[in-house]
Amino acid sequence: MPTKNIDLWPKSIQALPKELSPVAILRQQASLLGQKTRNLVEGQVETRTADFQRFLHHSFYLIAPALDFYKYPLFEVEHLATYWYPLTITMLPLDARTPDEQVKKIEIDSEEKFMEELKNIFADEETVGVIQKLIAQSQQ
Amino acid sequence: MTTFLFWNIHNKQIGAIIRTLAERHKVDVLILAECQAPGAILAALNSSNKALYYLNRSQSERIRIFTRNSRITLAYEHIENKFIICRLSIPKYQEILLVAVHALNGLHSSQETKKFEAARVAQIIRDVEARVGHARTLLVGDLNMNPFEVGVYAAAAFHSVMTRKIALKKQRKVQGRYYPFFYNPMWGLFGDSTQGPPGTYYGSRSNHDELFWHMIDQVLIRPDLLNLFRNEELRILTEDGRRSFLSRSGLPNASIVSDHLPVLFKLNR
Repeated sequence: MPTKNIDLWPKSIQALPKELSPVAILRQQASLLGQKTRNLVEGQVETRTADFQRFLHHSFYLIAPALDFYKYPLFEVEHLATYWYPLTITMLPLDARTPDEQVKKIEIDSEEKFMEELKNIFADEETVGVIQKLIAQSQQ
Repeated sequence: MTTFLFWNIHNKQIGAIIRTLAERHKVDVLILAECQAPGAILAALNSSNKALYYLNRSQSERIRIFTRNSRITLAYEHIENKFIICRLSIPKYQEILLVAVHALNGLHSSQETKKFEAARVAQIIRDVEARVGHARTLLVGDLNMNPFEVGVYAAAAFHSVMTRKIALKKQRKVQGRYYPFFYNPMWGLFGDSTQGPPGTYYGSRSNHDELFWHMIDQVLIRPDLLNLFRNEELRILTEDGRRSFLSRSGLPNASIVSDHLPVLFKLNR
């Protein structure tokens, strides 16, 4: 006897939130970096799950295509998979020998503060210096 | 319409010339062989605001692929130093299998070496076509063989023929096995009765069998893609609108540009 298909899901699940998710903000910025450096340095966001699927973990990389796709990890963002905020930004040390306790972690509780902190990271002397050096080497 | 340009640039720093060509012909997919400084080329391509090219990841140092649009994407299916096979996704087109080749053999390797190497590569192409489930395949590159050499026309090798009519038969049976055709439009560009140069490369060794002009840079097209290709849109370029790529004697000017001439072609939707 054929079974009747009963749909118990509400229509509202198809309505998307108006706010941008953290990963969408990161991807947007990654794409803008390529345009600003004429694709000599591109941004790339990689996402994975962490802590037995409880968290989403996004890594933001700087990529230099002309330098054999050299990949520089700039920072990481982690939040509960089903909540966007609060989230944690982990600044990755320039020097791999930096002890773990010196790794800087920033707690963020809103989209506005997330954007503000990203702006600070991108404008940071160290970030700008890395991008400039990658561009210079790419052109040579 | 998607425009392709292939050029063996002989490791020359000719970013400005490539940019001029790319802008002039609105090149969508740029394939360069012997390109040691892809960053300098990328910087030159993107030095004006007219287009934004992307350098695609490639494990082959001999072949570099730049695309004009971020929506044109490549997914590699097979990578060797001398050739790569990738699935090329272009918006509004069905997926294309792009084979880019650089110097499978030395130009002066024995015919046997060329033949066996071409047969090996051709088998890999057929295997990839079987795996991806289509044969909308485009082969482009510096083959270091002329269209009339056995490695280019033999059934078990590239099996490329000089007319559409034959190629459109799709395949033929040899010794009980079927081999798919490629169409080789380069045949139509040979000699001095065409509008373009007699070939893509010039050699003048002191040998009895010197041919002088060679057509070693080629485009081969599978029958399943032929409806998108028009012969009149295939050209061997000799200038970029500002300067000639030929010397006063009409030969490729290796001292300024490259000892090879670029090949331009289009695929229409």
